[in-house]
Amino acid sequence: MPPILEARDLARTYRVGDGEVRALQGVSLAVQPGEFVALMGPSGSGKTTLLQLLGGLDRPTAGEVVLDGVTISSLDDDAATKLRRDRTGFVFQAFNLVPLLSARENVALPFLLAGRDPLDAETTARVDEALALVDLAAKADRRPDELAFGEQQRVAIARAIAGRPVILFADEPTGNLDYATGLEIMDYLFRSCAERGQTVVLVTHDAQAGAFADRVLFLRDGRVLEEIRLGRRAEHPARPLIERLAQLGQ
Amino acid sequence: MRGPRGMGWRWLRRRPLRTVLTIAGIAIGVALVVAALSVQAAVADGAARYAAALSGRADLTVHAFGEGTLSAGTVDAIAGTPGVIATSPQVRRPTFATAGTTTLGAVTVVGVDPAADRALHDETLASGAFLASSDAGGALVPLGWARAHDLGIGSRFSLVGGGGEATLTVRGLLTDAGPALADGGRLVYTTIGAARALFGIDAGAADLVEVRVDPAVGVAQVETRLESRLTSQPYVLSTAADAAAALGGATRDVGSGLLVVAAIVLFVGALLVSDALAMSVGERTREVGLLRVAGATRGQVRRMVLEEAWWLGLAGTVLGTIAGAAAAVILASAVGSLSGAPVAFGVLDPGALAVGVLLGVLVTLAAALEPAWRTGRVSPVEAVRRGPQLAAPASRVRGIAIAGTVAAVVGVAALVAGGWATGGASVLAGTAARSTNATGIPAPAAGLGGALAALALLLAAGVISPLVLRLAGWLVSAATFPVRRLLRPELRLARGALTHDPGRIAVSLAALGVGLGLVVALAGVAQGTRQAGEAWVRDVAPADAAVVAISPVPVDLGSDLAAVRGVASVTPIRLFDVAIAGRLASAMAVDPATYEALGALSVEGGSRAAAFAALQAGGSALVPRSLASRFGLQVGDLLVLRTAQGEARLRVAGVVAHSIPGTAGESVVVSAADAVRSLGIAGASLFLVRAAPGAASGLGARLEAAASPYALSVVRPSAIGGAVTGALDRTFGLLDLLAVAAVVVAALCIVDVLAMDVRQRVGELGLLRAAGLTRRQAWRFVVVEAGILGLAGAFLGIIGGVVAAGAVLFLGGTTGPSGVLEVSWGAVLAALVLGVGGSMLAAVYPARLAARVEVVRAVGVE
Ligand SMILES: Nc1ncnc2c1ncn2[C@@H]1O[C@H](COP(=O)(O)OP(=O)(O)OP(=O)(O)O)[C@@H](O)[C@H]1O
Ligand SMILES: [Mg+2]
Repeated sequence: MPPILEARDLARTYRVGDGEVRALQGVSLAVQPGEFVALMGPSGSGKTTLLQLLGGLDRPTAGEVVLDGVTISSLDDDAATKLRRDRTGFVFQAFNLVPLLSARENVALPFLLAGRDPLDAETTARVDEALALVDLAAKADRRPDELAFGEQQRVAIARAIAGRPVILFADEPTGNLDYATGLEIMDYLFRSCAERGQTVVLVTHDAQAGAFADRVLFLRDGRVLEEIRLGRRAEHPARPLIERLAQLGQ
Repeated sequence: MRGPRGMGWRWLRRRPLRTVLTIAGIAIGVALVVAALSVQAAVADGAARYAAALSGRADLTVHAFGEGTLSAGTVDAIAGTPGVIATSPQVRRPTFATAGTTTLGAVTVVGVDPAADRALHDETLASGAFLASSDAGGALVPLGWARAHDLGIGSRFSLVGGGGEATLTVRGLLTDAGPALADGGRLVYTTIGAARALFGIDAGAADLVEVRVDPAVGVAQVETRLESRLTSQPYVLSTAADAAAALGGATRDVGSGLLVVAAIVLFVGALLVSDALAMSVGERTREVGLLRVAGATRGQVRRMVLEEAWWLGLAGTVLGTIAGAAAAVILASAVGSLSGAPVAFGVLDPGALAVGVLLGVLVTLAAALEPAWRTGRVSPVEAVRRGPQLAAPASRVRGIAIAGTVAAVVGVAALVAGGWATGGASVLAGTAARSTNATGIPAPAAGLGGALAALALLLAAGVISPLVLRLAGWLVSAATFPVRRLLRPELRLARGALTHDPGRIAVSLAALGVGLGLVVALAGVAQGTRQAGEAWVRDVAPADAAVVAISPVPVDLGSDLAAVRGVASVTPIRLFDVAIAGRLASAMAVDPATYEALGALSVEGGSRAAAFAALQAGGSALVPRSLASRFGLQVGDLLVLRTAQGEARLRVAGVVAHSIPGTAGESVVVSAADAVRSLGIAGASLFLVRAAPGAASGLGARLEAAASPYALSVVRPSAIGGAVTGALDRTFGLLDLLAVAAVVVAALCIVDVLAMDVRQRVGELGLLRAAGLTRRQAWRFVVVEAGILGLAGAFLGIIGGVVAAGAVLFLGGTTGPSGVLEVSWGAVLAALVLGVGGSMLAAVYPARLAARVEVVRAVGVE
């Protein structure tokens, strides 16, 4: 099967004053449909930068990204935006929700932006389904500031998967959460992958979260240092991954 | 559920203060535009309808010249002129009415042939019957006048005239409409025969003849024919359009002044919109980034901002239109009182409303373009970036430039449209449109000058605001030196806050500058115009005093005045009315030698000595520029002047810039010898007195003593200019009031900016509070910041205002005698006080916000 997402020799250099920061220097990777991939590595290793390039939020200095057969890295802004809207979903560490919109409206946002009638049967069904998947149907009409942080993250996941994106990107979605809530969020992500075949690319610091993945790519200094294959499992003990990471010097 | 279409609306609701302020800013601007246009339209419309009602189906009226009457021969000649299809001769004279022992006051007797009159007018009766032509003892009176004096059908009253006395019986009551509105409705209609008897007028003669012209022939053609037929007597023609133009003319300059100021206020309102939206965009960068991540295209987020602007514009426009309509009703009566016509304010002018609504919405949307464009540039990466998100200062200047250009273009377009709307009627009617108004400044030039100056000021403000702010901050520090120990932390904080990111407040500063500039500019223009007026008086009446007679006196009286101690010379001048081609004009007769010796008159494009020599030689006249353009005269043309006593055929020997104004504008200058010989005009209306060197003091009293036996009064030469300066002062008083409105809008801008500042700096303020800044200090910090801002705005305003006033005066061709604009120090002081005081007042609310920042919460903010 061809990969759903492919990156070739990606490089990203930031200008900072007179100098430059080489956040990524030659990253190649491929993600198969239905796969759950985690990007891990020390702070500053380029995880967020890589995720932004893969999702078409930013453009690489060199190299290319092919998402679902389209070279997203060479599209103009409007085309990239539409591709992102229709085929990807994002979950960040925080500030995922538009504060003025209710949970339901936030979930429906990509549909609204695509010009769909938010009240048509299909949209309503998809929004309700996504909210149900994260067990938030009861709180759908609350605004973000009326929800707990974990609940806000669940709304963010619901929004990311409601449009049935070909791929879901998450950047440290559990970073601001306590242990138990973090596991809960990871469980929702994993279930969307296992039950609906959702492809997921996750950035995390946390081995406990990384252990949910089928495969972990370990980054350091803007390069992929190691690939750890864990395989699809029903249980997700963190210990084997922690031991492996320890060997890598983390 | 609302989609992205509702985002603009939600954004507005999240910042209620800013929304309200912005709406208020737009509303004030729109209100002034609507009010100005409505007033102009109402006054013009009132004048036109009044004039139309008075003239009915008559196209032309031939009046007797001066005190005389049109002879029976002339009346017949008019009726027999080809192209005239109906005539109605009238006797029309003022007199007094009494009923028994009670006086009914002044009335105008209108003697008509009832049948001829009703062929031209549609008078309607409230009760009673029309007069029969044989009914010498009957009268018709307007209902309102009759009610006021308890008269009814059958009531009797008496009139006294030059030919005797008449007792009349009321046969009918006229409804208060049409011709019955003339002279305040104090009219008595009688048969023309009765009126002739009352005033001792020959049979067949009349004071005026109303004429209906065959449309196929045309009024102009009939005017020409009349000119060749009516050679035995001088006469004066008027058309309905003339009457309307005369009534409307007095208020036109006030109207266009209103419009210029209103446009500038709206322009300041546009800045407020641009600023408010730009701030919102800065605040919401993360949110916009998030929308972009979720798939909102650049176009979509731009449309959200435009939607926001749309709501702002709509709300401001609706409120402004309502307020403007209310203001128009109040203003219309004030402005209407300057003209003679009753201003009926039944229905609002739809054109004014349309222009107001269109301008309000368009200007708001135009002002939103730059913020919208910038919103589209927010990258999705912003959603995840941390740290403060400030708008790039560099783009602010460009933003100002774009918003300013668009707003200025719209403003100028509106001015042109407004000018056309009100000027159009009279131009179409064929009256020679007077290009200058009472202030001597062409309105379009004033509008253009104002708009250009505002734009230039704005651009300059964007560029130099950092410098000006730094200067103002330094000045405030210097000025508060005595209390420095007390204010030190606040002052440093405020200066730091302002100079750290000057681009942030450039727009508010510019808005304040424009508002204050308007105050200074209006004062400058008023002063410049007044000075030009004084220069004009020096030009036409270069004397130390003028001795004025109520009615002409013998020229010999001048020698009595010349005998007064300290008098160097006395120049007699006779002012009188003439008819030129059937139109009323003014003339002045002078002794060329003495008038020339005074140094009076500037001759345009020719030799002054030669012009006066021609005048001295006889058979020549000098015409003022205004009259030359009114009658299309050039040097060398033949000018025929007529009076009741005779006719003078004179050669135009020169065009002078100005001359002394008479009852019908600036006068034609003729020699006293020609006036006596050809026109039968002798005597003097006034004497210009020049004092001997060093003898000016006490001269007035001595002249008074010499003049009072002859019922002459001594006045300053400027009094000859008449009420011009008085009207000027009233006009500019009104405009000054409006300029303050611009400052108010600018103050709204400042409230908004400072409030946002405080919100943005909650973290910083919290830290300061944690480190020991008291609530009082936090409060003072913001107020001092506003004071510096106000001072900087005043600098810009003063500089810009002086430049703008100069531009307006220059474009209007009204430069002072020295060619240098004198700065009005009162206005400069007012700008300083308004600027600093106004913006400190505007800071009170934001300062309270700052004082209330809680340490714990503030530190918790990311
Ligand atoms: N906008 C930017 N401008 C300049 N440098 C940047 C920018 N974003 C990231 N960097 C730099 O690029 C490098 C990689 O950053 P990135 O955010 O991708 O790291 P990360 O692996 O996500 O780190 P963390 O785990 O702390 O989130 C870092 O050195 C960072 O300082
Ligand atoms: Mg990161």
